[in-house]
Amino acid sequence: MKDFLKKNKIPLIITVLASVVCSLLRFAMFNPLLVNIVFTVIYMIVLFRLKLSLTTSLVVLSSLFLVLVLLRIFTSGLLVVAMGEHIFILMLIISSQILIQKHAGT
Amino acid sequence: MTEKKIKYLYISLLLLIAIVVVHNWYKYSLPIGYGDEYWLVDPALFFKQLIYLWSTHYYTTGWLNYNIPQLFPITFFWVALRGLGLSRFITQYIWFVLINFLPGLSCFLLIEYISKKYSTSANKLYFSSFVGSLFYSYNLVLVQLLPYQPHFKPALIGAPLVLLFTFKYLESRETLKYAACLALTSLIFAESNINIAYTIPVYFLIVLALVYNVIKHHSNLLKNSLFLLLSVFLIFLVNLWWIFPYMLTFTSTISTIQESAKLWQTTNTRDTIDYFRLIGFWGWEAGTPNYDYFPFHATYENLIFLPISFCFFLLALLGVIFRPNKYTKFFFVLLTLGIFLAKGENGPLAGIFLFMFTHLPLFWVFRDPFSKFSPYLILSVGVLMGISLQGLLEYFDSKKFKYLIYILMPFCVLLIAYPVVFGLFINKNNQPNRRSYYVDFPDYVLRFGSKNLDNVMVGYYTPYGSDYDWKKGFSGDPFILFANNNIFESNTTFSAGSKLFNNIYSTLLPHNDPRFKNFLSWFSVKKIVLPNDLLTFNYEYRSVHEFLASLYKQEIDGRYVYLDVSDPTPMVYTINSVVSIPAKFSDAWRSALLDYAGLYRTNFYSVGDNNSKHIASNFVSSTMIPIIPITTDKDIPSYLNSYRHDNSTLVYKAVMDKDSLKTLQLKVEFDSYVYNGEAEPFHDFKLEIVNSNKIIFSKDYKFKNTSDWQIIANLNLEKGDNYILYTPNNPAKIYDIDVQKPSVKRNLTLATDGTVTATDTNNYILYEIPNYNSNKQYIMEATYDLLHDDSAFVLSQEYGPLDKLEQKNIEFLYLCMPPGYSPIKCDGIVNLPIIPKLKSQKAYVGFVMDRMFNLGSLGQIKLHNIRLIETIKPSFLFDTPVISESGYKAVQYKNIDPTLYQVSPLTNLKADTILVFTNAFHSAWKLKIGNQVLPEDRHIVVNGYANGWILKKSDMLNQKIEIYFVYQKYFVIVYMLSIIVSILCLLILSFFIYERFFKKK
Repeated sequence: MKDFLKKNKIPLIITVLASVVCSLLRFAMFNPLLVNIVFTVIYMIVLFRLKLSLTTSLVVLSSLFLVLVLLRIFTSGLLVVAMGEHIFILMLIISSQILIQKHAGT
Repeated sequence: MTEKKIKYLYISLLLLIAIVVVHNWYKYSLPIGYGDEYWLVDPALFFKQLIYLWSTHYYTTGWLNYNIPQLFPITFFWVALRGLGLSRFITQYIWFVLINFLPGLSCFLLIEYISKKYSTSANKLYFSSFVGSLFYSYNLVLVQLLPYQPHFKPALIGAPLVLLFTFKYLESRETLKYAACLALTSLIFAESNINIAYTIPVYFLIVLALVYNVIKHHSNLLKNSLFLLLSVFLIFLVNLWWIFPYMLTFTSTISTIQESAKLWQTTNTRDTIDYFRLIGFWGWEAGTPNYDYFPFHATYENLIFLPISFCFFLLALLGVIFRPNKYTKFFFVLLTLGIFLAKGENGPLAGIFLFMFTHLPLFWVFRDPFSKFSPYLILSVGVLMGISLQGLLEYFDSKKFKYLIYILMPFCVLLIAYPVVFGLFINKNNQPNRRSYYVDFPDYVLRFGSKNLDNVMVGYYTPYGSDYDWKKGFSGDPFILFANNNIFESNTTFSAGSKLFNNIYSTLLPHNDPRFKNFLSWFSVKKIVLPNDLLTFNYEYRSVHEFLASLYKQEIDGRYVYLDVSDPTPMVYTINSVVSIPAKFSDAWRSALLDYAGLYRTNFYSVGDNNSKHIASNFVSSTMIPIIPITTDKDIPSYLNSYRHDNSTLVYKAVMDKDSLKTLQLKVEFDSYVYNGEAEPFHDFKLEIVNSNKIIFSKDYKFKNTSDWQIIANLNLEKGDNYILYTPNNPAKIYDIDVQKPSVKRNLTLATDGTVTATDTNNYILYEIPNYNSNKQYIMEATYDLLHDDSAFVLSQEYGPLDKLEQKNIEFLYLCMPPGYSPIKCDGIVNLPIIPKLKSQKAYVGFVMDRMFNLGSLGQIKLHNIRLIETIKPSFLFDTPVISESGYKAVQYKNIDPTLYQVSPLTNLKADTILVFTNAFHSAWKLKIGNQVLPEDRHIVVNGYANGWILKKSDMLNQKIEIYFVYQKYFVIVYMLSIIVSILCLLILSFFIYERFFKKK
């Protein structure tokens, strides 16, 4: 697991950072749609540039979710709401990834 | 232990947990039926009403018996067990155990099927299946729904089975076998079809699984399509028994539901993040000023519950990581889809949902998307969680940590669902809008039996959204109502006849109205049931009771007064003249009739018309006596509910009706729930005035029968002032009650357009009616725009917010806007009929905005094009006897069943006449003389709702006459067809099972 995290630390860090920055933008009353598009674009770039596998995407998703839960324990403001939306966006992207992959899985 | 033994051990554990949970639900040893759905106390009682297409007498919407889906399995189950001699209580107990256990079992089988291939140990496999299915059976979604969940729970049983059989088909390609399996599975949740919004997502799972398969393997398109077609065909045939009546009136049914659905849409309830822990119900943090709908909601924010409630979603994600196979990926996609659909209008992609909701045909049925699509969430999280647990157990196989998983996981699942496990989600208090679920049949239902409730008028019912008054037995839920045949107790939106009756009744409430007898004969009323006046909290009902008791013989029995209408009008008679409806009112003749009659005390609208205000009339049934508020500058109490102030449960009305300041006659009625369900027989009190403004209840005054209470009032009163007195929950204390004078210090603006804003202080706009003439009627119309776009609102006509204003002849349109409810259509036309109350020179009309359920803080509506329509006020209808002076002639008839009446031959008919049949008009009612069916042009609407046939002298009336509902014979054929196809499916299945068994041998 540790090795795995080490190998995938770049997408992990970028995604979490992107989410935090986008959430802060949202917090600063930027248009939610715009912020979500920015996040989607950043993640899509990460996905394609680094050619993330499905498992890596899922690990990124789970990690971001973990961050979200930790944040949610202490606060419940717009920051958390925005991050929740990012989780959903990631889920959508990963679902598309699943559907696009041919004959995937066992 | 062998593999099978382990499997059955875990299944037994699921059953045991179901039994323990249900045992917890019965801690008060009272049956559970929640609120108005008293039929759930014993569905068997209503069996006969479900086997006929027509079950109601005053049912004028053009619908047929829409309760038919509830025939199977719930009613059959009850009939069978009650037939075996089991008590109501035990039968309900078993039913509850089953509906708690079976969803878990079906999910268990699904998880087992999916993960068996990848499993290394039976113990891990079945433990993870157990925890996954435990989560499916007990989770936060179920915490937010009602305990009985007659629509939801059967659908939960069906969802995993539907997927299981589709997956099995995709693997084995045995088309006929699995199509038959799916058809039979659809019967398991057939009762859920009473609300198709619950079943469509389940059926759609088949499509999803097949499409997913096609996306992965394009070559399967044809095979999958054929399987889908065959499955749909078989499901259609097996379910034809309930589809048929829906099909017959599909257009009117759908448009009617759509109209009512528009007014209550909860598509924008919570932030997206909450859906990850399965919280999305609109009322989660809502409630009334005194009561939260979910009193335990705050628990889920603490440091233990919050992380645990999220951890199931995280585990689900791990499931895909541990086992990235076709099934886990499918469930991940399903989970994403589930969240997308359940979150409705919450971003991201809210626009797509909104577009579908507005434009996709029939998608509007998902007006509460969370409860409809939550099966997707709990199913995918449950399955993926089970799979991830297997992965975790393997990962920690060599460590002792794994034992912690064995103990902790089931514990965490049950901990998060603790309100279900301990029955805390079953409300036991009668609070506004949240009624006690521990109920029993009203006495009068048992007295008459469900079948004989026809022609019994139940005088008082609690409108939806008002204080529930179960013990008195008169209540109504506009959306779910079973015993439709009794319009008098039914307050359903879908029974226009009910509205007609109840509204007229309400309208004529001012006692001593001689028109009341006409009204009874109009509806062939035979018996009247009223609450025992000692128990009513509306003192006006006592007057009604006194009035009726002066007319008819009465019998007082416990909580009820039974009155026998002397010489009741028979259901079939001939007469020479009837009240007929002018053709120009044909579209909305019922409302027009009431308009004509000047019955505008309450608002009545036909269900079928294009506006949606029939809901409004539901909310404002005038059986609610308006409680005069203590008005402060900041609050206008909601008239939808009996007003409850802070911690009080009682509301009294005190009317200063004397010139002298020395004595005030207080008419005080106790809410019967204060004393553990037993009412206090209170009487009128005399109060002495002392120079103070406090009212104190003390224990010095003797009352008849039971508890000893006295009101010592220290009031400084002025003539015409109105007060309410209220007491806190526990009356066994001495209270200091502040009584304040109503305040009218408001800026009332007169304008042509305006904006009404509901903030912390409610607001309204007032208009003067120019050149007011009290002999005329007015209708006010306005176009409205909803300015606050994440809120929906409910429109209704209401009494004025201030008694002072009301006395000045002011009518109010009440705009209610609880934020959190999302509108789809933000503009529309409202109109407000204005009833002259006083013969004053000036009259006003206004718009009020208020928040209904203490939700949110702000709402805003802009009104334009406000205009008045002056109408004439003819009042011929109730001023003349309904049955003409020449009188009716009773006809011998026999009621064979609800759809067939045999009438004796009519002889000596000297002139043309009308045969009246006091059952709601429907074109499917036919009159057959001998073998000849009377043509439709001689079938007329009589007295605003009933069937009438014009009989001519030339007709051969000395033959046998039959009144019958023409669709019933087709219905019998359809029933038979469904049964035959179901048996065929069973035979197909038996053949495959036999073949497999035979091959094994």
